[in-house]
Amino acid sequence: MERVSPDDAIVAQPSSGRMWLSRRSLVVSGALICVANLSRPAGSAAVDSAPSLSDAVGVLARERSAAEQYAVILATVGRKDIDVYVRGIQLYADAKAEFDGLIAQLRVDLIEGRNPTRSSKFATALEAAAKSRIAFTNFVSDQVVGKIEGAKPGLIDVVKVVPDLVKAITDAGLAIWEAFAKADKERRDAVLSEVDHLRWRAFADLAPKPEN
Amino acid sequence: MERRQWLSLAVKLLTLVAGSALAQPIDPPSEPMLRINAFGHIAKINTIATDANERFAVTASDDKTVRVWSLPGGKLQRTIWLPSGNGDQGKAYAVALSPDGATIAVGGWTGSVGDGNIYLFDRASGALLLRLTNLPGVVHHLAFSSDGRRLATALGGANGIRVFDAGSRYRPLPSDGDYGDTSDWVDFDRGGRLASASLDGFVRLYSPDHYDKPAIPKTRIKGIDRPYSVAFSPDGRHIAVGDTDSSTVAILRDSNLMSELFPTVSDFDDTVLSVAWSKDGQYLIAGGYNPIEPDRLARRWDTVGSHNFVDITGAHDAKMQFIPLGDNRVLFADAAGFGLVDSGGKANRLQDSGKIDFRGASTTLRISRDARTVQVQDYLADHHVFRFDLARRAVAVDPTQSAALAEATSKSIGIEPTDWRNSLSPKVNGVRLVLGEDEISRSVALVPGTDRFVLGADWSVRLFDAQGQQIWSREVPGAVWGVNVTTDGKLIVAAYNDGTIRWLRVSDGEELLALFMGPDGQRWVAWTPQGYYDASAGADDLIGWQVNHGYDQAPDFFSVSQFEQRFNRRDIIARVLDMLDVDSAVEAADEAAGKPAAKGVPLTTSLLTPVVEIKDPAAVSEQTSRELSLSYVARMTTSDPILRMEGFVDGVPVKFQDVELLKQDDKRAGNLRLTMPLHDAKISIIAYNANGPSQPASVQVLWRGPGREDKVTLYVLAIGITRYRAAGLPVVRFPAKDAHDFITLAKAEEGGLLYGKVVLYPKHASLEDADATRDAILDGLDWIQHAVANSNDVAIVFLSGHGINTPDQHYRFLPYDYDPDRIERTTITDAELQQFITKIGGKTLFFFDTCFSGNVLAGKGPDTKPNVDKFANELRAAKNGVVVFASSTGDELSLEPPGLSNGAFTKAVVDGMRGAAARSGSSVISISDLESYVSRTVHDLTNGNQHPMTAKPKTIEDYWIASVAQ
Repeated sequence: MERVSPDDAIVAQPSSGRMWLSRRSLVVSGALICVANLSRPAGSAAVDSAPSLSDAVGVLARERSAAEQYAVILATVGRKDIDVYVRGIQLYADAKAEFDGLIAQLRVDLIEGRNPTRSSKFATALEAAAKSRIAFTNFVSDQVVGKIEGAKPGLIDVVKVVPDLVKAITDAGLAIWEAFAKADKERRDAVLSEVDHLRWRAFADLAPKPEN
Repeated sequence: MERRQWLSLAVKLLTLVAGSALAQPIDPPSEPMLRINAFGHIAKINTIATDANERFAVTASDDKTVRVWSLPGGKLQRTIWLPSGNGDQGKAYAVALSPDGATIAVGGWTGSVGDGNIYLFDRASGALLLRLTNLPGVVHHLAFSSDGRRLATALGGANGIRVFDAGSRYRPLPSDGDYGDTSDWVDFDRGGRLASASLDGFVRLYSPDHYDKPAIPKTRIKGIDRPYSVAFSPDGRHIAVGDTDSSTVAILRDSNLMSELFPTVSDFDDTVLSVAWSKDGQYLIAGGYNPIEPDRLARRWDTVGSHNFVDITGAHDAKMQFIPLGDNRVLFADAAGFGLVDSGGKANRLQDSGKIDFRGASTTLRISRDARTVQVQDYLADHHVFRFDLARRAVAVDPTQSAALAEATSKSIGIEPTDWRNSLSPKVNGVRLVLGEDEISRSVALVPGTDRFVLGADWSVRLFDAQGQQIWSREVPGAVWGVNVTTDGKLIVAAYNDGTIRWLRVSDGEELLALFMGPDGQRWVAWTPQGYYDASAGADDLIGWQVNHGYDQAPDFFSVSQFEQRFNRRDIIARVLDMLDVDSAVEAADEAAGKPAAKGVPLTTSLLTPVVEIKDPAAVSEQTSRELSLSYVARMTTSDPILRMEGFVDGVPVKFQDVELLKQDDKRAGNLRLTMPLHDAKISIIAYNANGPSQPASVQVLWRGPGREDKVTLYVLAIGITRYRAAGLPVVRFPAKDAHDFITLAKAEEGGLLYGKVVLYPKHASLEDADATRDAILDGLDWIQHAVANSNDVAIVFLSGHGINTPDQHYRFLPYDYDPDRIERTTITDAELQQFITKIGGKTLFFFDTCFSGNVLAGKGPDTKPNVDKFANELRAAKNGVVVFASSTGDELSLEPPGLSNGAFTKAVVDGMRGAAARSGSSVISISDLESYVSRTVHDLTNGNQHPMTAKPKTIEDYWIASVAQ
């Protein structure tokens, strides 16, 4: 818990004190730096032109991948402060629930023959998902990685602004819809299956097992 | 709270704040404090907030809690307890919800004097994220900007406003403190401009991000002396203003704050506590306090200035806030509850007060000679009369009149209190009585046989003599609306604003006993100040212990049911009014039960249980894999380590794997892995330390993977004993037939919508009369415990016959072969029943139709009536997970009304499960459907003389138990 006083206008720091990277964390972070260099920002495919189906699914897959990798960082280097750790778990869970809900809404819209980008439920779910994903990744960036002194683990470049993320996923949703609308039944089932696999994993499935 | 009280409080605040320059922050008490935990707020709701997507409503109340509700359904999702002490400390006057619904800002009397706080809570978890400190005044209002970047507050006293940058961890921004009086409202427009209303007479308008000085000169509004509320129109071109002292509503131009329109207020006598525009700007809505027409919720004007309006009814008290929603709906809060106004102007209440309103108790509080029976009328809710009988342990709603109950005597020869009704200057025999500053007297009762009288007031109850000299004064948690005194002059009965009845000792004002009755007229709990309690079935969560951890951590709340072994003491509650002393009652009860005598000792922090929270998955989430991973954090509240965890699916204990992820200080983060059923399920965990189980933490997991459960199996053990081998029991006619009919009902479920198979014990029959020996019943219980192999299967135990309570407060069921001379050896104890029933590996329902067995233990103890409430509460504890349907409450008899061929309870259960309890158009019956049907049917069949009770664990959601017979 922090306190902010209007009189002194000082933002108190969390009580975690100095944080040092363990040797194991550095190994993990090194691996993530490599991943980061290979990854493009989630949603960047949507910027210039309408994405293909695989690009569109890729936008959502990269969102999952990025969030899960931030979760891995939380689970490794975020273990110095249990309050930060559990808060991060909570934010990941919130973002996961919102994204899973978004995926579910996308499936419903597709199955019911509705363009998701014209669906108010999809728009509501998307807004909530974007905000919660950004809240989680910002938290890991600021409260976990940002508080580390010395060498910091690399972070995947992710979209950091809600409207940009909403636009990227809206474009992806539209591309998926257009591909779905044109497809035959077999292909539609395949698309639905692909969409279904975009659900995020539980935090505990990403956290490394305790060493002892 | 009435408007006058409300203003009085404001004056009080100002006085205190003004003198607080040197005051030091005082932490809230650290010792556990008893609090009422009703389903709804038990004091005035001050404000309400929602998020941009209108998924949640958040309410702030004088009861020192903030509650999160789902929208549009209005289901309670979370209660947040604020750091608080006695008196005003902790009252929540203001709440705002960030547009994304993630963060709740709360203010009010939320700090110590002169050191106000704004708390920022995580909406999803209830965790306290941040505290904004050192505010110079009490927080009266809060608002987030529409983009969520700014949080503004209006402060009490001449302290102005404060604005915080939410994007930089709520860094305070330069803000205008140049006010001449309290400011009560702030509102942002879509562009980030801020308007404020202040009792100093001015409305102020600030440019975005320049909140230290008004953008244009502050302005007085014609016809509005003391602006209270402000609201921007959706396009930002107008500002509506409401007045503290009149019904005037003004509409100002944003460019110059000049009045442009005054909507018609003829016959609109509300003082305007809130104004709001519909989202499309088509309507303006306003309301506040109106003692003449308290039912009127608001006036809604069509198209501003046209003077076309409709008056909307449906309010229960002062209207505190209106919030525009989509589709031209409006979310409203009045002092008692909240709801929605639809686009057609029809109000639909979603929640009402969690208490009975005692505001009329100065004339309606009646008591018996010994004060064991008390009666009071609800000021709201159709003015129902509630009568509680401590001897019978039961509440009656709208009972027939009783000449044995008397209202208070308020004057006699030689002593005449006057001017005491809602007065700042009460008198006795012409002598003015000294109360607290701005304290209003509410009620009076003479003490028979003396020259003394009791006076109830806003913050105290006092004893005076005929000369106006105060004998003693006791602080109270809210206004004392009614007082009465027993004819022997020893006991005071007082009706408090928090919905409690309290018994005080006349000699010194010491509180002996408190009672809270739920507005449903069924659930009640009575307790001593030390926390010894007695409760009806399902009511032992109505009170609990709040433990503060300073201002920087959210308090913990522990239901008293977690400490039931130590504090559930019907025997003490039954004695305390006789002994006029709790310690003496404890000693006497211990002695009667054969326990070592002890003094009454309240809960201490060393007796606390752990606190556990589920962090992942979120409160409602979807699952496609059978393996469910669940991350939790458990906090040790004592030096005892956490000994073990338990996991539940729909209240049924399940196997799991527990891995510790991290352990630091007093916290442990861990991961549970368990198997997800092929259906939506409520997943719960409990942590244990040496003191007992934590409150359960639960999440709702929706199954979205492949496959669905097959139909499940129903296992039934039905026992009914009409005839006993021993003579001497009161005659009952139908227990064996009740069991038989229940079995017939169960058999009909086989192959229906819900159950693939129905398995009975013994085969095809119930256990009746001579077959229901102690050994046979235990064999049956052993069978059902072991027969249920699938956690989705349903087990029902139906038990009908005689029972007793032993002096040590344990229930015993009488089998056919019980021997009155060998009670301990030949009856079945509650522990034995519990041992079997709670180990059943499926969803378990226990139908419990027990009859008072007369004076079986003649001369062996005073408390032989079966206490089914205590037993039911034990079974429905989260760790046990049994849904209990009990035929009656307290010491009521289970009745067999003439003309029926079943007991009233079984008749209602069987008819209800056959289909009468189903909602219109539904082909299945859920637990809550049956509960509702049985409750009203038994009431009707017994003319209100029998009150069945249902007790449901927190670890289960409602589920289907029967299908409508074809």
